[in-house]
Amino acid sequence: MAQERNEIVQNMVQDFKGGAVLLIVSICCALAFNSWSDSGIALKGQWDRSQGVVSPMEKNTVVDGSREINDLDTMVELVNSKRCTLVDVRSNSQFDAGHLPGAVSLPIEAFDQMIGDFFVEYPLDTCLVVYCAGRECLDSHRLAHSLKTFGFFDIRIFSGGFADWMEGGLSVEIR
Amino acid sequence: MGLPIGWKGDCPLKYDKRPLLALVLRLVIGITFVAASIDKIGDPGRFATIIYGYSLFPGWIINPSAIVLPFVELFAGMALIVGVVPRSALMIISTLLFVFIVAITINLLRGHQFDCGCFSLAQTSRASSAFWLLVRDLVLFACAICLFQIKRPHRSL
Repeated sequence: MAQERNEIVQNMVQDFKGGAVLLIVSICCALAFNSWSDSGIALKGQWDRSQGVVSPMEKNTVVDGSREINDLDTMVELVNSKRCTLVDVRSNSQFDAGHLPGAVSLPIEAFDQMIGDFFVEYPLDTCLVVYCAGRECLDSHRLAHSLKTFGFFDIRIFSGGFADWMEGGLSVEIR
Repeated sequence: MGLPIGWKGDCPLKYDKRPLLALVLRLVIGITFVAASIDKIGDPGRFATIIYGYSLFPGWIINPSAIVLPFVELFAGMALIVGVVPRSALMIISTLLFVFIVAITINLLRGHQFDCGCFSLAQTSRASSAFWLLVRDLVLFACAICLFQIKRPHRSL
């Protein structure tokens, strides 16, 4: 009886040791692969919605937190001042259903087709505020990155996007 | 015998009773886990976003999990396929399946929309398919628990 119990305990210890080896090998390989791979991510992502757009922070991330406007009041002030051009990166159908007052549509999927006209209409020093659906949407950052490569430099991103605007009970335009 | 303490039952999949069935199940579970890990290893950012979508885990644990979990799945699956430390691999796989089952159940119960990210990261799963994923995970979990009665390799071979 005691021998059988002893054997069970020994077996369990062996199982746990095997499991520990598997876990250690997995962790080492995972960390090595992550640091080597182009698609690797940071050990700490940005998952706090109050801090802006959430993102796993990949190595080649386009997320630039310093460009984000996280405060709805600041955004309302910007919209009312009409100092900047608002750029909506959502699809045409979403834009037509409702968008921030005075916004222009530049869907990210149609960027290549529309950037020519956009480039003609807006000089490179135009103040642009880009937004998409909400804090879980990275399209505004992707579009801002693309616009930056075209030479636009005064670009900001409304991290709350259309969702925060609607939650704030603010007026929208419908096309 | 290495049975879990307190378990006096006799599983129908017991290795020495139906060795072929047990071997097939071992391969099915192993291949399932290896296959599930491939996409996640290739795109940890997308997998991290999926973990975030479960709305169950604190922010600090999301990225480390997205980096390490796919490799745990890969190595545990491979260990089960080739029969190296199969009981240890089953222990890990059972634990992972238990966590998946709990996470999916909580989100189904509270009606939270989420992508499970179980296999292809491009594949989205909403409530109806999440239910079937839960059923599949429960079946795999039951098989893994039964297979845990596999004798140690040096004794069974």
